[in-house]
Amino acid sequence: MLPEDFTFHRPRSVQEAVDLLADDEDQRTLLGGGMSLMPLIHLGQRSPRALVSLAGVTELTGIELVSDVLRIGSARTHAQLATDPTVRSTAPVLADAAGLIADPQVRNRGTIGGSLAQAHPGGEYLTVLSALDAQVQVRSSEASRTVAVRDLVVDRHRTVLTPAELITEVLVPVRRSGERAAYLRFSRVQGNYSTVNVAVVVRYDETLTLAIGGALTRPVVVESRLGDDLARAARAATATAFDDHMATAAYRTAMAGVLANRVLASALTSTPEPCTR
Amino acid sequence: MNSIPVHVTVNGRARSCVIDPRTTLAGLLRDGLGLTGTHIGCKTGNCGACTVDWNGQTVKSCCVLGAEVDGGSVRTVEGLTDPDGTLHPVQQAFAECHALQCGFCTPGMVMSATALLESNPRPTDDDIRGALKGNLCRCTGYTNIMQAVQVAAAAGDQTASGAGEVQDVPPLEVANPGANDSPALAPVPEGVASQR
Repeated sequence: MLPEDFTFHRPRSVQEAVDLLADDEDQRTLLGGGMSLMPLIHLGQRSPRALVSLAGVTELTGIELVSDVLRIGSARTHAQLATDPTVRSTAPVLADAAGLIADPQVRNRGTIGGSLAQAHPGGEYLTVLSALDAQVQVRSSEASRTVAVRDLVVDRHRTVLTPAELITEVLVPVRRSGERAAYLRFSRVQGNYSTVNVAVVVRYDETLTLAIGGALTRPVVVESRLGDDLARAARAATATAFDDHMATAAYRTAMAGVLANRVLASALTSTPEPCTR
Repeated sequence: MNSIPVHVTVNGRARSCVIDPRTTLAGLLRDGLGLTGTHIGCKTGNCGACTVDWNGQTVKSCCVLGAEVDGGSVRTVEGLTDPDGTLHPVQQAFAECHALQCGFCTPGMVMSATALLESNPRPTDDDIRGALKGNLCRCTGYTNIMQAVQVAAAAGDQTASGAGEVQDVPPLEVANPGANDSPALAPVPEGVASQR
């Protein structure tokens, strides 16, 4: 069965794409890798009247290191991020998280910008990029702005972005001397979104940032120190978790505590960034 | 209805067609070009039966629009078989190891396994599990599939067999030209029949 009729636009540049989005007459929807949107269209849960495909916008595929910030084009795929040597060396936890998404075919096609804009509570990037305190660069036809990933999501599948805005880049602070980080995900069904996922960054001064995804409808960030009861803090921060067909709220809260301890242990046994920079 | 022109190289052969924008890559291959080796199981990106190679990477063609592949190159399971019908080493290994029962998932399994062996000719069992994670089989229990991939790896110097290059398939004659806007269904070459 075919979905409802839609028109298809394939811009060749970011400017052309945002100009298309500025005209909201037929409620244009951005199509990144399509690994979330296409299934939703086929399930009848989304019926866009017009799609703006980013498949031909090569400007969005850069990876560049600019003064301790890794600038990642939003159309970079999960597979590229998982294997890119620059990402691997400057933000290894991001590469690790990208490599755990779904399966090889989905990683070959799904993009970091698409995943962030999709704002699924169990998405990998929202959690790991919140822990890393990354930002997204956003453009519309008239303006551009940066938004902290921690502030990007307002609710399940809802972001602060307007329909006219496009995520062009993800700005990730590179790993500093003595820093260790780790990411863990839990899902009952192989290849599914995480039910709960966690990322932690432990700094040389023994402060740490824990981010928890999948428990609430948006990522939760906990600032703490080594030696504090991180599991307890994680449970407190996710006390208002949601219920769904994958897990109860109480289970999510409990798992946030369990995963917090595990991800911290994982980070502490990893090799820190050498003190050379 | 909207329509959109698409120019794409499929199994080494340049093809042009005009499609409804809602047409998926899987639909374009099956209904437009008659390449029915690519199966559609779920249309939600779960089962992997529709796996094809697009510009050197495996994708689930039910979740890619035909219009997106304009200007690109696609290889399907039909493109693995030699023009004389000789099976690709991975296909041969699947047959020998009885790595299929109903066969519905097989084209996708074969495409994913081929992609694995092209980048990693000597995979461990864990490598194979990781590579086939996006392909579901409801019959075999995967044991024979795992075995087939190991047999294909052992059998073959993949490079010597020509894997990694896009192989041409016999030209698909248009059976009923001009019947409608989309390319007519074409007969599938004999060597491909076992993969349907």
